[in-house]
Amino acid sequence: MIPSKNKKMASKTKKLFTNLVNKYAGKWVSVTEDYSNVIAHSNDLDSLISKLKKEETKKGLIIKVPTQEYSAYVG
Amino acid sequence: MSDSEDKKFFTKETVRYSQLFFSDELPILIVNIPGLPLPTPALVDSGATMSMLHIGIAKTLNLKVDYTNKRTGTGAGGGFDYAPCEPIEIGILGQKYVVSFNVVLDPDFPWGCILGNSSIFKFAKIVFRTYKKEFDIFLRKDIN
Repeated sequence: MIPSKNKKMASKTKKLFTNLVNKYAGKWVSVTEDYSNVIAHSNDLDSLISKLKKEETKKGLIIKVPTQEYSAYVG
Repeated sequence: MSDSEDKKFFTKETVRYSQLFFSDELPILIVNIPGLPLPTPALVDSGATMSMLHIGIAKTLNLKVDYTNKRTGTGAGGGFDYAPCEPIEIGILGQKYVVSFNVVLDPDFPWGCILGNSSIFKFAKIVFRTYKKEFDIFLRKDIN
């Protein structure tokens, strides 16, 4: 995960997520822990898992990319 | 807190808030869910009465979801339909706990997992320090 320690870093991190939404909106994605690289992606989680198993991926995170960019979260 | 109460908890872990798809940094834990080859981020949400799981995860793991017991919940973000699912054991900071999730039926739900009062706050003491963008978590030894 990315703990952003200052505004500049937070802005850089925000750009990473903007790029993810632009390229992978609505998809299941495995990413490196700093979100800088996409390891694999798929429209559904089953296919993503198959890809990860085939490539023997051991590091990273699985996330669902939202279909749109959000500015804030209020639970 | 008394010494006897302290003994119920593992040593404190401090976790920095982190960013996901929202502008603000949020209290997020990385959780391991059996059946998923990689962990996934989970929001630690003290305002959520329930703990929620994405329907995509529930389907992939073939979890038993009681669709006959479908209900509607609400939050500041709007209403959502959900259904209870069978309890599963998840890994948090090296420990394992059984969680009874509710499955959000909207496939566009932006979280894979939300840990609310029905889970993480039952098996951990959490001190939020939002002004420092971090939280302390003391996981309980006597619940799993």
